[in-house]
Amino acid sequence: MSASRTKELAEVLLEMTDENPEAREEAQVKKSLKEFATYLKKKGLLRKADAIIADYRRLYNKKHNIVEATVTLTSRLSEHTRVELREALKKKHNAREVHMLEKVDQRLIGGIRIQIEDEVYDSSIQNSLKQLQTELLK
Amino acid sequence: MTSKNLIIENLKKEIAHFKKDATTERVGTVTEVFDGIVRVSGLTTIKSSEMVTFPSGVMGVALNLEEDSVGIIVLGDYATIKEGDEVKATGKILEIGVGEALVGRTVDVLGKPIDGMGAVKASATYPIERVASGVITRQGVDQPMQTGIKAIDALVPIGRGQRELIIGDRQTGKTAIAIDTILNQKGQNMICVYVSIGQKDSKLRKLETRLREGGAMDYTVIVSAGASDPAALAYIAPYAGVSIAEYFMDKGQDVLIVYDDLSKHAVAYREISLLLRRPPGREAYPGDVFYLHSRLLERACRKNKDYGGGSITALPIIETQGGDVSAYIPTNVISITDGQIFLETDLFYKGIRPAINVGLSVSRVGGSAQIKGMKKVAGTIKLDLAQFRELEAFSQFGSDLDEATKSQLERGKRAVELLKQPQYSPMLVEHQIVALYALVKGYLDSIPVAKIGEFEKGLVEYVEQNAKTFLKQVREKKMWEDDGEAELKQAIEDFKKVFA
Repeated sequence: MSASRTKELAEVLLEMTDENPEAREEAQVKKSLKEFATYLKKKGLLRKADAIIADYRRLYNKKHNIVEATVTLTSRLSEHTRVELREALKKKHNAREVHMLEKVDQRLIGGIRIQIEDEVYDSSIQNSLKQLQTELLK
Repeated sequence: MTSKNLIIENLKKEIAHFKKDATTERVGTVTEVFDGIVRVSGLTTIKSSEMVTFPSGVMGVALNLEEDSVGIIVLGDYATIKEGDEVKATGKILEIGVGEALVGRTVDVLGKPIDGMGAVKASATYPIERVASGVITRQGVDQPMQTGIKAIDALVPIGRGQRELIIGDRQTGKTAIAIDTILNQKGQNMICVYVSIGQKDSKLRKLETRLREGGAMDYTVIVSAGASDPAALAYIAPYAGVSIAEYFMDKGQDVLIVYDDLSKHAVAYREISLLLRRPPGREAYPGDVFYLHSRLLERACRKNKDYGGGSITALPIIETQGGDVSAYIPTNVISITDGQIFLETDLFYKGIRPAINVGLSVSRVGGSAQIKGMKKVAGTIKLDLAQFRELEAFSQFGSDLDEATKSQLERGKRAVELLKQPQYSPMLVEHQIVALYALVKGYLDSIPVAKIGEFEKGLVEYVEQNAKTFLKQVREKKMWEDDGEAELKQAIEDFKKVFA
C-alpha cells in the first residue's frame, strides 16, 4: 500500500471525528473510531495504524493551526523561559497553539535546538563546532 | 615561542574571521537505504537536484520528489548511511568547483583531485545541470578542429563546436582516436576535458601517463568516475565535465570534450532509474534516456563574437555490441550528434588502422570548417574510395579488367594504404595536404602499395626542406597559390627520383 493511501484514510478519519461540533462529542468520536477500526480490520490494514495516526496528527494540527515543536537542551527549561519561548514560536509561526516536547541531551554541550516538522533551528555549541570543523577543512 | 603556542596562534588566526551563526535548516529522516539510493521523509521544501549531506559527510542529490518522500542518490559510500539518520538540505543545486587550477589535473566528479598532487583551488562554482546556450548566442561551425588523423581531417572533418560521435565495437580504437585528437591540440589554443565514465582505473592511469608524456596534460583536465564508483557518480560525470568546459568557453576559449563512453553512462542511469522505480522502456532504459544525452550534447556549441566566441566541441564515444548500430542508445546518440565516425572490427584486423569505415562515417557540419586547401585535395578521395569498394568485389574474379578499372583499383588501394596511420602520431594539416595531393594527382600510382607508408614519411620530410613556399602559403592563407603548387610538384617529382 502506498504512503498516500494512509493519508487518504487519515483524511477520512479526520472528517469522521472533526467535521462538526456533533462529531466532536466524546461518545460520537468513540463510535466513529470503533467504526474506523472495524473497517481497517476488515481490509487488513490494522498494521498501518501507526502511519495513519501520524498522518492524522499532521492533518489535525494543520487544520487547527497547531505547531508541534521538539525543543532540545542540556537542562530543563525554567517556567519563565518556557512561556517566553512558546510565545515567540507562536508569533513566528502564526500558530494558535504550540505543543512543546522537551528533550534533554548532553551532546549539545550548550545552547538550544528547536525542531518543527522538518525545519531545525540550531544554536547549540555542538552545531557551532561542526560549522567550525567544516570551515577549517575548507 | 614554543611550538605549542605557535600552533595555537596559527589556529587563532585561522578562526579569527569565523562567524558562527544559528542556522535554520531543513532536515529529513532516512527511511530506506538500498544500492546507492536513499529514501527520506521530511525535506518538504527540497528542490530537484539539490544537494544534501548525510551525518557521515557523504553528499547526495535529490532526484525523485514524491508526495511523502524524496529519492536521493548517494555520491559516495552509502554503507555508512543508516535508517533514521538525519539528512540536511543544503539549499544548493549540485555544483562543481571550476577554474584554471583544474588544468593538468585528474579530478573526481565533485572536483576533488584523485591524482595525489595536492588540493585544487577552484576559482568559481558552476551548476552541474545547466540549460544549453540559446540560439541568439550561437554561431555556425566554421573553424576546423584538427584531429591530426588523415582519414578524419580529410573525409569526416570536425569543426569547433561540433558534436561528432565515435562509435564502434570494443577494441576498435575508439579511445585511441580521442587520445590522438587531444595530443594534436598542442599549441592549438584548446583546452581539453576527458571524461572517463566507468573505465578501469588501470586504463585511466595509462591514458594519463600517455597524455603527460605527450605534453598534453598542460591543457587537459581529466574527470573520472571509475568502474568501482557508484552508478550515481557515473551518471553525474559527463555533466560535471561539461560544466568545467563551459567555464573555459565562457572565457572565450575553445574547448574539446571527450565522453568515454556514453553507453556506460546510459547503463548507470538505467540502474539509478530502475532503483528509483521509474518505469522501464525499451531495453529497460527509462523513458527520458534520450533527453539524458540530448541535453548533455546540446551544451556543446560555438558562441558568436558578442558572447565571447568560445566553443565546446564534443566527441562522445559509444560502444556497440557486435556492430549493431541500430540498438537503442547508438541510434539515439547518432540522431543527436552532427555526424559519426564508425569503426569496424573487420577493418581493424585487416590492418586498416584507424579502422574507420569511410562509407558509413559522416560529418554533417564539418565540411564548412575544413580549410580550403584540404577541401581541394580531399574532395575526390571519398568518391574514389566508394568506387574502389564497388570494384574491389569484381577484382576478385581475375585480371581481365580494362585499363580504366585497373587504374581505379590501383588508386583505391593506395588511398586506403595512405589513410593508415599509427597511434600517437598525429600529423600537421599541411603535411596531410602534401600526402593527399600526391595521391590525387597520381604521383603515387607508380609506387608499390607496400611502400606507400615509407614514401609518405620521406616525402613529408623532403617537402619540409624543399617546398617551403607551399607550406607557408597553406599555413598562413589556408590555400596554396600557383607558385607554391609548382614548387610542390617539382619537389614530389624530385623526391620520387631519390626514393627510387
